[in-house]
Amino acid sequence: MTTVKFLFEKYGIYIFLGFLFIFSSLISPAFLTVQNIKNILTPAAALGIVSIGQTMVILTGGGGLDLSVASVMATVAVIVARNTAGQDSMLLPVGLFCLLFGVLVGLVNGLLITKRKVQPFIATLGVMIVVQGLRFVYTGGAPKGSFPPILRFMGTGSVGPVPTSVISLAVLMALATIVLNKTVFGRQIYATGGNINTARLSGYNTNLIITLVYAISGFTAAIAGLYLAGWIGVADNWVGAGYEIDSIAAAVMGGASFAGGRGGIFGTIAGVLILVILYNLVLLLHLPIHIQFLVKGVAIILAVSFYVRRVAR
Amino acid sequence: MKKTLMVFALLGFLGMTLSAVSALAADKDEWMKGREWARGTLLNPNSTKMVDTSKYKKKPPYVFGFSNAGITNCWTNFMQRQAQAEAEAHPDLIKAMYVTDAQGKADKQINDIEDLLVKGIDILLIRAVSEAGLDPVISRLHKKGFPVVTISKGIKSDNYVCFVAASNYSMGRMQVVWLAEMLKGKGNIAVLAGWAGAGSVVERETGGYEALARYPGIKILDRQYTQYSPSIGKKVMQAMIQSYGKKIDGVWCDSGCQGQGAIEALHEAGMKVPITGDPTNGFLKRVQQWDYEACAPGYPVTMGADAVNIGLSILQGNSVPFRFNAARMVLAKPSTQDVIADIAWEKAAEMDKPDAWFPDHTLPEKWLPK
Repeated sequence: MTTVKFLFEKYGIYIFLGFLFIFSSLISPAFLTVQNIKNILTPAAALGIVSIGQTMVILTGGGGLDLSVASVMATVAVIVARNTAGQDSMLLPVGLFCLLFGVLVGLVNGLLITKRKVQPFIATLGVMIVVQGLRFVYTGGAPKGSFPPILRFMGTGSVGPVPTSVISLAVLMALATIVLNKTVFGRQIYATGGNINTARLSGYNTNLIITLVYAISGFTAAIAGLYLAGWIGVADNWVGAGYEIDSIAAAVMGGASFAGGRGGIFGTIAGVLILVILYNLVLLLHLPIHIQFLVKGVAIILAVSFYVRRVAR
Repeated sequence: MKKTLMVFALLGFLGMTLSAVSALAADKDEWMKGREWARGTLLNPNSTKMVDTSKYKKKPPYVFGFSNAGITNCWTNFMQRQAQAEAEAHPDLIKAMYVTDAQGKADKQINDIEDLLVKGIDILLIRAVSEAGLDPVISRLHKKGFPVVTISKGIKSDNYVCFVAASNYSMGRMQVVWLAEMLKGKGNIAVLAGWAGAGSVVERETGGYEALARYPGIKILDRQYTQYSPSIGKKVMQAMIQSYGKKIDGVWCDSGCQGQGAIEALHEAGMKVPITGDPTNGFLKRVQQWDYEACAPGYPVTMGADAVNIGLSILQGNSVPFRFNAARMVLAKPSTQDVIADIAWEKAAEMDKPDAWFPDHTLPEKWLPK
C-alpha cells in the first residue's frame, strides 16, 4: 500500500495526465486525431517554453514567481513584426535583440527582488505593467509590420508529424533538465529554494543565483513570444495574454512549491499538457469558453492544496 | 410589347453592369469623400429625431474634451486619431481638444471628465467605459445644460445631445444575410463572436439572429466567444473544424479581429468556406491573399471625426440628429443579391499596411499611426 502511495505521490501528475488523455479520447471522438493533437501541441509548445523559465524561478523559493512573462512575450511579438517587416533576412538580428530584451527585463526583475528586496509578486507585476506601457508607446496602440515566413514556419510548421515548436521545446527541456540536475548552478538553485540561509552559509551567492534565474525566465519568455507570434501570425498587442498564470499553474501542478526547492521540468511540462488538453476539451465539448478560466483556477487550487498537504505530513 | 420589355430589360441590365463596374473601378478614397451623413440617414427606417441645439450656441473658438474609454485596441486608437485630426482641421473654430484615456476603468473616466471640466471645455465627446457606470455623471451634465456627445458606446439613458455610432444590429444582419445568400438559404454555420456580453457583440448577435430566423435552412453548428483575439479565434476555429469538419459551410464572425485567426485555421485545414468579419486590415489581407469569399460591413473609425463635426454643429446652434449613423463601407466578395459591395475587395485591402489597420479611415498622413 505504501508503494502505491509513494508511486502516486512521485508520479501523480503523470498518472493524472494519462487518465486525462484516456478520458478525453473516450468522451470526444474529435480528440484523438493526429490533427487535433497537432493543433493542441503546436501553440502549447510556447507555453511549455515559458513555463521552463517560470519553474526555475519558483524553484528558488521565497514566493518567487514571474508575472512579467506574458508582457515580454507580447512585446517581443510587436518588436519582431515591426523590425523584420516580414523579411526573413532580418529575423536573426531582430530575434537576437528580442532575446536580449527578455534577459534585460529578467535582470530588472532579479535586481528589484534581490537588491531592493521587493516581493517577487509586486516586482514582477510592476515590471509587467511597465513593459506593457513601453509596448503601447512603441506601437501607438496599432502594431505594425508582419512576421517573416521562417518565423511562421517555426510557429506553425512540422518536421514530419512533429511540430517544429515542439522540437524546440524538447531541446530546451533537455537543456534545462541538464542544468538543474547535472550542474553546480542547478544544485545552487535547489539549495537556494530549499533553505536560503543554509545556501548562503554554504557560500552560494544567492542574490546572483536568483537574478540569473529571472534573467533565464525573461529569456524563455522571449523565445516563447517568438514561437507564439509565429503561430498566430498577427502582430497583436496581446500575444501570450494569460500565459503568466498558465505557466505558474503548470509549474505548481508539476510539483514546484512556492516555498522552493522542489519541482522539476518534466512535472511542469506534464502540467502544461494537462492544462492545454483541458482547454481543448472545453472547446470540443462545446462548453462556453469561460469554463477554461474555471479549469485554470481549479487546477491551481487543487495543485497547491495537494502539495501543501504533502509537505505538512 | 415584348420588344419594349426587352429594351427595358437590356437597359436595366446595362445600368446595373455600369454601376457594378463603376463600383469596382472606384477608389477607396473616392468612396470615402464627403460621405458624412447621407448613407446613414438615408437608410434610417424611422423619422430622424432632430435636437434643437440653440441653447448650446456659443462664440468660437471652442475647447473640446474627448474622454476615451481606452485605446488598447487598434479600432479605438484609429477612432481617436480621426477625432484629433478633425479637430486640428478646424483651427479657427477649435482652439484645443483635450484627450483623456480611462484605461478601461469607469471610475477613472469619471475623474477624467472632472479634469476636463476644470480645463474649461465647452463640450464633451465621450466613449464610455460602461453604459451604466457613466450614466449618472453624464446625466447630471446634460441636465445642467452642458452638451455631451456619445461615441460608439452610449449611456443607459437618453441624457445626451447626440449619439454617434454605426448600427451594430444592421452589421450583424448584413453578415448573416450575406452568408445565407451565399449558401442559398441552406447550410450549417459556425459562429465566432467577440466578448460575451459586450454591447456591440450583443447588438450584432441580436441583429444577426433576427435575420437568421428568416432562413430556417441555415443551422448553427456551434457558437463560441473569442474576446476579439486572433489567437483565441484560431484555436476555437481549429477545435470546431476538428468537431465538425466538412459540415461547416460558412463562418459568421462579427469582427475581423477573431476573423483573422479563424480564416488561418480554415486555410490550414484546406477549407474554403464563406466567412464574415469587418474591415480590420489583417482580415481583408488574408481574404485577398488566400482568395476566400467574405463579407465585411464596416464599423467606421471615421465616427470619431463625425463626432467632432456634430460637436461643432451643436456649439454653433445648428440642430443635429439625436442619433447619427456614421457612413459605413460595405465590402463583399462577391456581392450577393442584397449585400452589395461599395468597392472591390482588392481596392480596400491594403496589403502593404499592418494587420492592425482600418482601410476605411480618412486620416491625413500626419495622423496615421507610425
